[in-house]
Amino acid sequence: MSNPSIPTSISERFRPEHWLLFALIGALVAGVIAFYGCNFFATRDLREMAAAPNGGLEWLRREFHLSGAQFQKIEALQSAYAPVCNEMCRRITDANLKLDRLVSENHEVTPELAAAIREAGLVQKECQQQMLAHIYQVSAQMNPADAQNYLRLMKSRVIQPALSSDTAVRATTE
Amino acid sequence: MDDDQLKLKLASWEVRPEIPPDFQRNVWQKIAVRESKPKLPLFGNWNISWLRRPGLATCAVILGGLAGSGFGLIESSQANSRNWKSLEAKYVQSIDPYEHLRTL
Repeated sequence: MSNPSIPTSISERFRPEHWLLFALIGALVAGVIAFYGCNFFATRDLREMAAAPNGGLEWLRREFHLSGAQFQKIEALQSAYAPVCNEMCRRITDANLKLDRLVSENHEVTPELAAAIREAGLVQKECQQQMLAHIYQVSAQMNPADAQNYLRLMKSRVIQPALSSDTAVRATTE
Repeated sequence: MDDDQLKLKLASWEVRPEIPPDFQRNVWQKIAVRESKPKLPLFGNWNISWLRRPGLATCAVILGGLAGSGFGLIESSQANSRNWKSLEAKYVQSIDPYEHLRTL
């Protein structure tokens, strides 16, 4: 029941408590939608990159500002290195399995165990050499400043994973 | 005046109530004024008539959206940083057999 002579706009039909409730719920809903919307769209590019099979190479391209030609050459180098890397993986696995078996079977360092330790070490050295050769080949395709950054990063991530890359340098200068 | 005269007088008395023309309108106005008064005991006697306006809800929605966008951008920046690190690790795994075997 209402009187037509009384103005009944939407703002007057609701009590202040209702407007307060609408404001709180509206703010909450808008905030949640904005949060997930921003988060979704702002992270979409990198999420897609991470899910892609060549995400690592795409990271290299962006991190070290590679041109199209540089990227193509590095992609070719990576394709050529992949079988080498897989072969190294196989040799490491074989050497480590053999070493693990001999360590479990023996109670002293037998000649066979010593040979297995040497072999595991050799495989590790060879692996490092192959990897370093590939890293140098890749860095040779980059601009000088980016190549320096790449080598510094690879040194810290690959060559001395357990040590800071400038440990030896620091020790001689201190 | 004796009782009979009084009874006669009362019997002849006729009441003709006259309702003012805007009586109904005034009643509705008074109801509207009463309903418009804030009834939030939590706020005591504060003037909270501004809570009535839809502008408040609009401002709140806009502010909520802005706050949500801000937090979303901060969170996405952190997520991007994590994704960037994981992509770096993915590249290292692709060239380092030991790192590759470690993640199998």
